[in-house]
Amino acid sequence: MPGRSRDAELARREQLFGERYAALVRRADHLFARLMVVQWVFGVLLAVLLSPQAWAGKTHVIHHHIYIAVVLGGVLSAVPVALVVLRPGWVVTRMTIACAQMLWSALLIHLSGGRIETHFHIFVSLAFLTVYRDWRVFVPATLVIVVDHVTRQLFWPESVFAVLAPEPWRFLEHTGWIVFEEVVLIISCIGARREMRAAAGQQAASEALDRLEKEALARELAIAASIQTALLPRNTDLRGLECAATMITASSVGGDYYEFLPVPGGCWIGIGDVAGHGLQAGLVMLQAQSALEALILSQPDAEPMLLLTIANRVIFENVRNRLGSDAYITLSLLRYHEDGRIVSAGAHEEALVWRASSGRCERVPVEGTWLGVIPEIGDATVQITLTLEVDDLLVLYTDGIIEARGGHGEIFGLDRVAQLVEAHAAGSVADIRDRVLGAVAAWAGAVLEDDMTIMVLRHVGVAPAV
Amino acid sequence: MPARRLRDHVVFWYVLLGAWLTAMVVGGGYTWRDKLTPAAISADVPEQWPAGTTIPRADGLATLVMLVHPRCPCSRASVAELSRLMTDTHGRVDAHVLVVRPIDASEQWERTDLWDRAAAIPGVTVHTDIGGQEARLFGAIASGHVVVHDANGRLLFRGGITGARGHEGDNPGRSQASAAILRGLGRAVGPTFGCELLSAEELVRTSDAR
Repeated sequence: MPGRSRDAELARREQLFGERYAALVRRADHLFARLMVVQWVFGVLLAVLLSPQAWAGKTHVIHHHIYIAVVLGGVLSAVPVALVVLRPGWVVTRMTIACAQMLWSALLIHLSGGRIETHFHIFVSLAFLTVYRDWRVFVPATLVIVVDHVTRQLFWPESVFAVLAPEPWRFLEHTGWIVFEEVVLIISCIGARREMRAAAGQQAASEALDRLEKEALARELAIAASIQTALLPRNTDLRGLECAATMITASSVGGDYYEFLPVPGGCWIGIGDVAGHGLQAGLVMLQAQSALEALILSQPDAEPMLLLTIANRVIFENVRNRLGSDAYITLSLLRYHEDGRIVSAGAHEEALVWRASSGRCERVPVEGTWLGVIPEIGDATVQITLTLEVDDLLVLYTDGIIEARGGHGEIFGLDRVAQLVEAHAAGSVADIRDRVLGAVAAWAGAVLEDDMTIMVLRHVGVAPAV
Repeated sequence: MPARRLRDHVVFWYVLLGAWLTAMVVGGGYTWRDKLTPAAISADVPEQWPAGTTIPRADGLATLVMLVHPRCPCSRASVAELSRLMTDTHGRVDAHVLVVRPIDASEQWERTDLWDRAAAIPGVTVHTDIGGQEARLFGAIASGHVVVHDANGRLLFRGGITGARGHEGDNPGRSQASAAILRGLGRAVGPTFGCELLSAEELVRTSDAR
């Protein structure tokens, strides 16, 4: 609901602002803690350099200023530093620092013998306090200044006003200049906080948008995955063949495809991979599947090369010209005959054939071109024929199997697939399939970077009719 | 952990802050008292220009004499105020700064930055006062002590010309000294803020030497 999402965005804005402001205040606290130490060292140095000793003739003792700088200055800095170390970010910590900074002004003025230049410390300190971006710190700072000035006006006016008999309102003139500076600083603080909150709001809005986009993408991927899986063949009961096939979809990359389509005297087998991901890849695969199924059902005895060539025209027109996409498909289309003969066309991965006679795997190279790249592929398409003997195995797969990367970056490779097939060829086709998938999953770990599809087919032949 | 619990306890911090503020007020009061406590004043300040002094009295002009301890940090403010006083009085006074050197101190002991500062003021002549003999004549005990005599040798002002210990700025002492010079108003007394010119032992030795 828009209202609820707006509330969530505002809450996130306040959370971000709070986190950033807390971090800023902690940084400022630590800055002032260091400043407290620096001021203490400076005060001691000032006392040592300007008034190290009090004299009476040739005899001398340590000057009071040294004790004042070391002890009073030390206590003055110690409590704010302790607060910063033990309670950073607390509002009382920065209020105390504001007081301490003003008291340091008074102490430095005292140690420097009332030098007018040392009074600049007050105005500089007020400016420093703006790093908190909190106007409240000026309240205790101003109170310290006002109390100091009123007291001096009453008991020692020349120490601050530089005249012997200032007018009764003279402290107001000094305070007025302080307030004048503080008004500007407070406006600056409020503006800076507003900017911080606006920046937090922008990030909250950006995060909300990202979240919406991710949710939309997730929905799209879910639709794409449902398209992929919904179109997979349910019937694997094929004459002359035992078969086991599985497709495992990755989270963000989709487009694998396999097909079994029984026809009189055998069946058609397809395996392919649409380049791309998401809903668009799913749509392209849907088109390819529909086109091929329609072609196969209308011409069950046609050559695979012919059907591929026609399907390519449909896919090229739809993908390139209508969808405006540059997606393409790697696809092998095989026509299985019950006598073990297989005619294949298309440019997908090499097929593996395990020969029962030798107990070894053979690689069957593929030649040709991808679908959807160019409008006519007739000249580039090659058709090959191979024959399976009884109990021979045919293993088809997509690149997600052989290109799965281990933690060290090495790909799984076709050799490992062949070794697994050879090792477990005596088992059922489902067992061989599961062992390959298990080995790849163990190799790649938890993250599946690409769809994985594997088809394991055993030619068992057909008993002659009696 | 008790320490951790204490750290997180707000009341602990408020109590600590209360103690801290109290310490600041008490410390401030102490520094203020230290700053405003004048040195002892001699009751033996001659009302007329002392007869035995080697300092020449100006003809037709007021004469100002300031006694300083060369290493007294507070007297920098006194010399700075003297500089302002000389500016304010526009050459209507002949000023002498006597820098006291204890009788057993080495040569040049009194040649400090304070000497140089005083010597740099137009219209001021700086002298060494060995053993504080001139200080005794002018009745000075503390560094920064000033006397102003009129052209006839009559005492117009005695005391300090700073408002506090080592503190520059307008103050009653300088104003009174200035009024004495410019308008001949006499018998003003101001507090002196500064180190003792001589220790008690040195005062005895100087007295014996005489």
